[in-house]
Amino acid sequence: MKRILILSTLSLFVFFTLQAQSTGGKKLPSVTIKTLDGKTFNTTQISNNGKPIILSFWASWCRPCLKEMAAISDLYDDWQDQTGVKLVAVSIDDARTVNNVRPLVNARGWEFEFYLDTNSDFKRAMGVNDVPHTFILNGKGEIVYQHTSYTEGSEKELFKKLKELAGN
Amino acid sequence: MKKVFHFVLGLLLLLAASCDIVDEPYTRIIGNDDDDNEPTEVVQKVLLEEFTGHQCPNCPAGAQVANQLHEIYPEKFIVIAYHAGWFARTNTSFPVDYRTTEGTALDVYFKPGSYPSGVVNRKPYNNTIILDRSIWAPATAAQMSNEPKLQLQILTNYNETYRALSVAVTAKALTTLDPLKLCIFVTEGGLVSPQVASGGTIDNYVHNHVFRASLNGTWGQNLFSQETIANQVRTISVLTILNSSWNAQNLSIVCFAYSDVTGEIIQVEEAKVIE
Amino acid sequence: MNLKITRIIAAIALLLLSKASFSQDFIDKANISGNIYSEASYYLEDTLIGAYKTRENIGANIYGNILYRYKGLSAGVRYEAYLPQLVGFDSKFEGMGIAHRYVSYSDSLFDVSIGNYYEQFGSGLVLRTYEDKNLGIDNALDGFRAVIRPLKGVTLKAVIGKQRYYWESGPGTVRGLDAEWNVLQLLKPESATNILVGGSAVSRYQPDDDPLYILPENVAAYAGRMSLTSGGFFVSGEYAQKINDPSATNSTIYKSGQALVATTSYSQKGIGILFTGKWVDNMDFRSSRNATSNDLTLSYIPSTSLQHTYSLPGMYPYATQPTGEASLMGQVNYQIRKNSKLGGKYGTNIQLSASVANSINKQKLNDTTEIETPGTLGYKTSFLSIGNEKYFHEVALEISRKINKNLKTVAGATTQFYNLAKIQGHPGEESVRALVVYADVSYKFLESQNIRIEAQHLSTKQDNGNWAMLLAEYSIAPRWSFAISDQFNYGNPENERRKHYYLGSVSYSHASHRVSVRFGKQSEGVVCIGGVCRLVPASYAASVVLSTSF
Repeated sequence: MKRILILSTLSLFVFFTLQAQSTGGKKLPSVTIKTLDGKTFNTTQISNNGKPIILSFWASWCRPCLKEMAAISDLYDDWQDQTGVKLVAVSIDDARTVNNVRPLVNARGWEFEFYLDTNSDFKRAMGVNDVPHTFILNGKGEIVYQHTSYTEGSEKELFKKLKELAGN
Repeated sequence: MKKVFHFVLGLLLLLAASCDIVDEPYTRIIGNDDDDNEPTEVVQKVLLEEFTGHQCPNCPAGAQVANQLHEIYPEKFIVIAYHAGWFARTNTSFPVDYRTTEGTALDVYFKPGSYPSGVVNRKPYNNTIILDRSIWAPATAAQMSNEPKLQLQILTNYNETYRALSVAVTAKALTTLDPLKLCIFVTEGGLVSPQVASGGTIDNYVHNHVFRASLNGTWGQNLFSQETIANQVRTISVLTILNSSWNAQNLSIVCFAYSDVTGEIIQVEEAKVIE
Repeated sequence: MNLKITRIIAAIALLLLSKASFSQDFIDKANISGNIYSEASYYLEDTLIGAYKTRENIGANIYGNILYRYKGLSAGVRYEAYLPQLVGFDSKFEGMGIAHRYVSYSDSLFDVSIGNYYEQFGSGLVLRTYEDKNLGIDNALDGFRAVIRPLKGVTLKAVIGKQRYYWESGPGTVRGLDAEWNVLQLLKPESATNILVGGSAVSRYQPDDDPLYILPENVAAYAGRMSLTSGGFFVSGEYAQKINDPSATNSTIYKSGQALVATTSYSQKGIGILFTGKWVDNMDFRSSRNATSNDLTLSYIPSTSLQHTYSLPGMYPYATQPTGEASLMGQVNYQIRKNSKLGGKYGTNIQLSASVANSINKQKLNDTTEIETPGTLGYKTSFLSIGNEKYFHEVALEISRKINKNLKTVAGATTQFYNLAKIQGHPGEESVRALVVYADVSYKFLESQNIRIEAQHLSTKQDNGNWAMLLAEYSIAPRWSFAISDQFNYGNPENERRKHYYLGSVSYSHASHRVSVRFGKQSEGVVCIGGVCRLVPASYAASVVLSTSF
């Protein structure tokens, strides 16, 4: 019986996947995370007044993540001028390193919107395997692109996608 | 707002109530277990097979648990210690090699993730077959409460001149049983050599119940090759010449019967080579 | 509330009914996401480094999640397969099946789930269930959870369930409550100051079936916490207590446990300073008193030390000793201004960190009872006492500087003391004193191509002696990356163990998909989580990792 239940649930999921994939326009799930100040924040409130959003999952101990953020930070003014984009950075640091996040981002002077996902609830809900993992959301808050890992210069690809969005 | 906090406070208090503070003494008071057992009555005995090594710092604590169990179940609890795996390796500080081919084969089969680990009657306890030392006691107690299904008797005869040992094991089924296999193992106690402990190395540590050899292979031989009915009896005899490095005074024969279907041990018995 | 629950039940019922009965919205407007991750290795043998072929030759860990969301309703399953598990993972993983499944409903007020879930109370001192597939940890609770947010800034949580134990459930039942109040979120939403208070209680039930000891069947732990944020200033603390809990990891002693973790930081543009202190006394809390290694943990007490990202500085990683530890850590992040003489055009980042961990002062109960004798109170200690045995210390400095548009450099040095005997549980072994230096140069050319060289050196007279490492990576953004590296244990006191550990890898990523192939040798290493270190054996393998999200 248990097996049948599992199988039928699974097949339903597969069925949904096929159906839902065609419609596209995936939005963000509703997960409660925290701001750097410890305020609760629901992820459905992430918005940028109709402009695109870069949603980036990172951790303070993840070197490629820091490289990606530093690279985007250097170009951020340009990107904002041209596309109105906003970067929302969600740290998956757990209790060991979560308190490093504030001093680190302040010291580096990064001017992104930061959130804490201490027990990886948002990360799981977004289907993220490893950090860094970056999403682009269009003006309607729909996920239009995602990329995992970072190599030097990968930020150009992000910008290309952003410009495509702005061009639409 | 206030209401919410009263509610929470209430819930917290409720939880606080659900905890058990235990006061001294923490150990159970044990009465003499064997007083009114008639000598002829068959009792269920329990075998702890322990995977250990002289370089394993927690293993003396494991041996300690086994000793405590011996104290409360003096006649019904039997131990075999297999020295196997990484911690049983030898080097200049730990020169004595207690490893055996059979012990290593069982180590590979049961895959202890950490040492010491034990198997109690080769039956799972809380869904796990390979058990941490903290769980040997309840697992042993659980097995001991089973009705005995088989009677085992060991007769040994040792000739000192030739170091020849004959062992005869008589098994009697007390109920309907799966096909059974029988293992006859030799263990040795009183072996003094270095052992790592949590406080550092103990140079003259006494190793007991050390597995030495099987007289009929790692997995033993057929005892009853088919399903058996009650009162069926069979005797298996083996003859062997003891290894010259073993001290016959400290040797024991441990024999156990296990189900050929489930692998679980249903009865075990121990006898000294020299009474 | 009743209406909500009815709604959930109705939704679940619908979900389980045949697909014909679904309204179109349930399908068309639903969100589906998920991921698949698989890692497979073909093992080769090199007995000199201690890498052995497995019986099966191949090991594979496979994970796949699929999540369904429609409005407030969500459901998900995770399939896992270990055919068999990769070397270094517990053999109890072997097998395959549905390891995780849940249904939940949430809106702005409520969040209820049945099935498996992950939860954390405060910083996790008394309860944290989480998963980390790289470490082979998944201690999800299976049961019921309710989260209520009656007012803005107030969160109440209630959980009940049993923890996952490989393919089974653990023997203990976990009950927990947590309340958190962000004091000013409702009262003064625009305030730059934030105060947070919270408390939690967790209790475990496990039957006492032990013939030797009288064991507590219900064991409770409590914690209280607060934090204050004001501008660049931050301070937080959590204190936890646990009643008598004789267990496999505390050698069956009846002493109660306690722990305090406190952090303060100050930061502004250009500088961040952080101090963390921790004091732990017999605070290993699990949902089974018999659990060891990383199994069935409830308390999460991470180590107060720097988390290294380069390999040689991370060769001797410290892990909290939950049975007793006093530790302190300080860290400064400083950015030398851009366009300054010292900072260069792009600024220079400096990170200085220092940490130390000691035993706590444990005293005998009386002259005749040794410390931590099973079946006694174990020992006496006073709050915040510090013992004489040092477990770990480290001073680390790292400087990173972008020299021009194309050239980036990192250089660092760290000196460590590592109590091998205590942390890895090998009494009698000498403590390691190591000095590690490293440099990392990265040069970008032709727009998207990049070459990166890493050089690292570890020197120590103890354990395996000196190591040197060199790594070269060539990447073509955003897709390709090629790397080769060699770790050379040239200082090993045993001549025949002075070995090279070559490793080559290629990875390709496209959108949310990534494939990487790796071939080579990896030295035996220690992975530490919470209070326990796990030895990952050396390996000589060809591996393929495939990761995709959708």
